[in-house]
Amino acid sequence: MWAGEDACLKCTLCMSACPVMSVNADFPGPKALGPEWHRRRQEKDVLPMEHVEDCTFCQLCEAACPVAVPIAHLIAQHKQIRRRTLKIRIRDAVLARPHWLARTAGLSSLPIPEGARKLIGIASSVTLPQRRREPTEHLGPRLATGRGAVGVFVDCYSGGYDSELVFRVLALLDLWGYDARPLAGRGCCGAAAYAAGAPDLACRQGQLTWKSLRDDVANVDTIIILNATCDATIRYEWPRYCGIDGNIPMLSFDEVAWNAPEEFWEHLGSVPLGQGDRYLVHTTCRGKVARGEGYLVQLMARAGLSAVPSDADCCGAAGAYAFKAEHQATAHDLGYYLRGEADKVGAAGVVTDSGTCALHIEQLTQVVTRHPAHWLYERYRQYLREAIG
Amino acid sequence: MGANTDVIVVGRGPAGLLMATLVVQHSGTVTIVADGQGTLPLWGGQWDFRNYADDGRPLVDPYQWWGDLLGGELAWRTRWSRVATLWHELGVLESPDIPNRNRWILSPLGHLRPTYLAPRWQWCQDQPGQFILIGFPGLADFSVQAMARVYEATSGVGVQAVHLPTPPGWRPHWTAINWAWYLDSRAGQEWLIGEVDRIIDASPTPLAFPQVLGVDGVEALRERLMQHLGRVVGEVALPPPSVGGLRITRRWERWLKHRGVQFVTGHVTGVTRDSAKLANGRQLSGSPVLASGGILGGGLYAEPAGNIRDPILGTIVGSLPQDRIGSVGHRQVRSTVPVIGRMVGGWDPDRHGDGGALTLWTVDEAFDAIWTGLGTTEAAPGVVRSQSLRVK
Repeated sequence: MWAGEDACLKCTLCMSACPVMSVNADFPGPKALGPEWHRRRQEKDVLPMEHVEDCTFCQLCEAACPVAVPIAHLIAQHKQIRRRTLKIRIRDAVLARPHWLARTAGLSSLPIPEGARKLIGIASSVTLPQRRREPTEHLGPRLATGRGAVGVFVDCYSGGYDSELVFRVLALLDLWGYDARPLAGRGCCGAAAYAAGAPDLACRQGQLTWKSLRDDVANVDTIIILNATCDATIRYEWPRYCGIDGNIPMLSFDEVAWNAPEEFWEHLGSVPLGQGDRYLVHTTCRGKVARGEGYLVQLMARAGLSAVPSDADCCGAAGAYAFKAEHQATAHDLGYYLRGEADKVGAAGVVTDSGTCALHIEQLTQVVTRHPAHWLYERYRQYLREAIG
Repeated sequence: MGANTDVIVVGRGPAGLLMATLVVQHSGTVTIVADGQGTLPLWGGQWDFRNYADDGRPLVDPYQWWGDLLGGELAWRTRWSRVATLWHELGVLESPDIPNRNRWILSPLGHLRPTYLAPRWQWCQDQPGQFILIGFPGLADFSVQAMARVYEATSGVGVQAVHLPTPPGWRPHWTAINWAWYLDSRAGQEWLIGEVDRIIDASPTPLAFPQVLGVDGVEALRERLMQHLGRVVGEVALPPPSVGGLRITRRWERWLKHRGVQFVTGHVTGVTRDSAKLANGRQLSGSPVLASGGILGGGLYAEPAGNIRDPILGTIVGSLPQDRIGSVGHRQVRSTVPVIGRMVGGWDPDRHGDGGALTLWTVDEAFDAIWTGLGTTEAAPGVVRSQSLRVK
């Protein structure tokens, strides 16, 4: 089915890389749940293993593998056959469709009492997303012109709960000389469904989303993706696992930001750094796997901010994972590592390019956690205030 | 972004990380490109110099064996002190000084094996002595009875073997890595100290554990055990996943990230003297160094005819006589892009236990060549120019 699906050498590097194993003693690990389970099931129908759903689908196992076994994707198939109660099936069906939740985001301010959370299998202590309301202001005259038409892919979380982030991204792109607009087609890339063990649903969502975007993307030169998980899903997972090949240049926000006009960076560099203004930078697990690490730190440093990389492998948010009652402890223990780091650094803010990761990290660290675009916007606003008054 | 650095290291194993370290220590910039983890977590953590003589017998004095080769004793001492200094910076405590001789570590079957530089957590002795082996439930590769039998038969010294019970929350699937994560937790540490205290006698006999005493917290736990029990505590490295190598990898990669090293996920499909091309079409600028030929690197292919082909350069970099599996590479490279690591033509690190030394040497040579090429006329400080390798 997939190249490398039976290439496992049993070298165990995947186990060394697995963050869930570091905090969850029940978790059998990627080798047992992925390639070993996959080999066994070729012979006969096998039952799903216990705790397979504890996998966060961070894919760090897959990235570590020297022979390119699609370990996490085999585990996603394994998750698909686990038995779940009706209650959990309903909950998972909803959480695997974050675009539905985004459409009803207006309801998110309603409190869900603990009893009701228990009834629907939602983690008792986790913060649920709330609509963010912060005004976005114009950033003044453009620093360049004629840099082309770009379409911003609005992920479910930003679309539902953080539309201000989208406005800020549009303001920055306009400042940098792009003719930017959000793409009209809307849907889910499928990341949440794949992570939750519904690969077929994930690919169907991806295909529908691509179809809804297709007409619109004909009018842009490049698609800009804000969320690191969606970016990894659309650029790397769609072609390999779902047979969708976008065939249009796609860039993540930070890649576009890096090419902002030199004047922009000069302005940001002229703003003095407040004392103790240090920022902890968390590269999401999916970002690490798809692209690597260091680019967000570089971006923040270029903006004149003191940026320290986080050593956390996976924060535990993992799409809808942290919202599920049975994953509460694992998600907490994975993310809590960042609490210690934020304290040690004395972080004024945390930088990460995923809305659900930011929500989870902010809850655990008690430090404002936002997308890099938010921090660039804020810094430029500071420049405008201090330089122009 | 980040596409321009002084050096591009292709590969994330010990050679690649060491190369990147030298560059950042000399205020250069580095990108590490890899599409896998690198093999360091497969190792116990010790760094070999030369463990066995040509006839296969254990070597006591590796300096004598190397003689004047590759710069002689002075050059080697400089290279080793570089590793020791790095380990200190990473928080890995090595043996007290750079040793003059090989020391003895235990194999998981109770054999004594020579090695050179080992972190202080490793069970290491100058001559066979008494100790107590601590058995952990479910660790198939650490059978304390068998180890005690083999050790007694081969060294003539009797050792005691005791068994720990299972802790609360233990699962039959636990490997060394699960144990190590558990022993990083407060609950695990309290359980271990209490249980070991209960099952051993009051003598000062040292204790040998399997290599499971924590991942990030090993030094603190070992210190607590030694203070509480009033005796020396060490670990025996197990087959993969080897926790010692994992400990070093985590600290080393973090150290590099905090010094601005970029880690890029990708497969390199081509290199020139000043660039590397990735499978996704991206181009990186910098001087490439190929550190992708390790045991799982996929960086070098052995063709049926016996040729060793570097798939990145597309050139044949050596040949592989049938009796020389595991020894390919460096000297036969027909390109000007340096290749580093333990796979050096005519050498057999698996048989002789000199992979650490070969890695040190090739990295040294490559760094010197690249740093000189980047505009410095002298060898960079601390880098030892050596004569060309004479294959033994």
